[in-house]
Amino acid sequence: MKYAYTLVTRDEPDVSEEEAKLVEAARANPAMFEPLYQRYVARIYRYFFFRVGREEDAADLTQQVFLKALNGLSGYRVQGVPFAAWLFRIAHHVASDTYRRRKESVSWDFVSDDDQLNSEVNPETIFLNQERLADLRQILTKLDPSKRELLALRFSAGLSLTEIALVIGKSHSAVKKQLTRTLQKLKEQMP
Amino acid sequence: MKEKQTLQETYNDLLNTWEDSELVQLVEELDTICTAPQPPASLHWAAINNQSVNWTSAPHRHVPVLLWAISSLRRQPMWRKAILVPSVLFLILATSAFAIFFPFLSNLLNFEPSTHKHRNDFTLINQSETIAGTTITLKAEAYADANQIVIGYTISSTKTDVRFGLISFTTRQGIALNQGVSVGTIIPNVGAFTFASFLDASSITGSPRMIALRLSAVTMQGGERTTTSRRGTSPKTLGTVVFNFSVPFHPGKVLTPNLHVMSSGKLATVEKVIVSPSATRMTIQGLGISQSSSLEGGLIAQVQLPGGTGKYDYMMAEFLPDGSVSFLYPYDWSKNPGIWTLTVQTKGHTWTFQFTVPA
Repeated sequence: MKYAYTLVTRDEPDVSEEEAKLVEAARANPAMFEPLYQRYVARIYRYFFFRVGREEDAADLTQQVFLKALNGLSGYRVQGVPFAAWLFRIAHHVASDTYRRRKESVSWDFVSDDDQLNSEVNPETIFLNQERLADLRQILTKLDPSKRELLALRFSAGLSLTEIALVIGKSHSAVKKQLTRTLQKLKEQMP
Repeated sequence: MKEKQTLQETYNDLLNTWEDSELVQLVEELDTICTAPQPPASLHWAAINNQSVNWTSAPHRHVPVLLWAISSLRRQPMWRKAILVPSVLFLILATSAFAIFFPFLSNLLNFEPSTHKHRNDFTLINQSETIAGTTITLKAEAYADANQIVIGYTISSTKTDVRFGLISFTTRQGIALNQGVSVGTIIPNVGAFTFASFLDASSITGSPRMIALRLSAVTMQGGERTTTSRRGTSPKTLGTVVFNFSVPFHPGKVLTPNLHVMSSGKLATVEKVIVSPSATRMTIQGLGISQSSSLEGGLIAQVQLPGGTGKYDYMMAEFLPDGSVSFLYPYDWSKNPGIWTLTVQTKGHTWTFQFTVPA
């Protein structure tokens, strides 16, 4: 698949520069991959958790991505696609393969609301928030996989629209349009 | 939930307006749901680092019966099955003394059934190196022939918080050896790493008397992720410890039958057969099957030996750049001369080859 690279730097250009140095160091010595691992492990894990909904599977797939990344790092060029997009492209392929094999729906049985609640908010608000989050999760489980993929890349992985475009091989405007439509549809479905 | 300003900064490229309160609330809730999950304690760099040893350049593999039996205990994705062996063996070793590590290598080496038949041919290695003031010891048994280099090894340190990762095997000249399968275990709180590696030796040409090998391991100290802390601490890298050693090379029999068989209009050729004590490797051209399609449609390549009624399936199939497929059988068939029968099946095709293996 060919990608048109119209690179737009993110808000913090120094981050890309620092990351390029980390990538170069890891290419020279794989043990130096660790800072990149620490930087991305939570984002990759959350991405998979959103896709598969189970902690153990998400952890397995996360490990798989980093093993593939370690093995493929020599083929990555710093001057090409940003590292985040390269890494999530691996994750995207792993997730797609997994989904094709399993054809399962997602359930978020393991998501705890505990981390999400602010103890300073009154109990009634907490209850209403919990209800809304439960409703939203229910709607998300029925969402089309391609739409869920975009939400996972934007919200769980924290990728910019430009990076998402590079991961899935679509234009920035197409990604934005699809995400905007998905959000509007979700909004309409919320009680 | 995030403060509104932080939320706006995070999703500024997504929303054209922040006036739609329902949409803003939805974004806020999606952010809450998506950023809440935290990686479990089992996910940490050391685990990735160590597992990368097992899976570097790993081709498509068929998992032996032992692993299937273990994996059936608990549903696991395919790629983790070989890693399950270390997990199970760890349970045995965790309660045992350091002294049993070396005898334990025999069990790991017997992962491939061919090994026990020629254990007397293995070379013993016992070396120590010092890195950053820490003594690292390698105890190993190694064997090399035309199919595989088999190394069972324990790397240990006198310091219990020293760990090893990114272990690689190269020739003394630095040429990387393709790792086939590695099985073993990592012993936390003891500072030992016990593995058996079955390396692809098919790229070795000629009949050298000895093979000069180098084992390199990145050595780290400290840094643990605990179940109570999600962040943990990073290990300090002490450097890369390097062990050089040589093992005798056993050439084996290399046949080039160039045997052609047609099946439903598709011509397949047995190009090369390497028979040696560590394994038998057969390279077939013309099957017209890719790695991904073999996973979907099935790929069978069974061998029947002279005078035998049983059929042996391959353990690993490697899809080579020239389109051929190399099948590895982890059995010692070096003393089975006569007419061998190989039956290969893909979706819609069956080829049966017969060729003579000399004494």
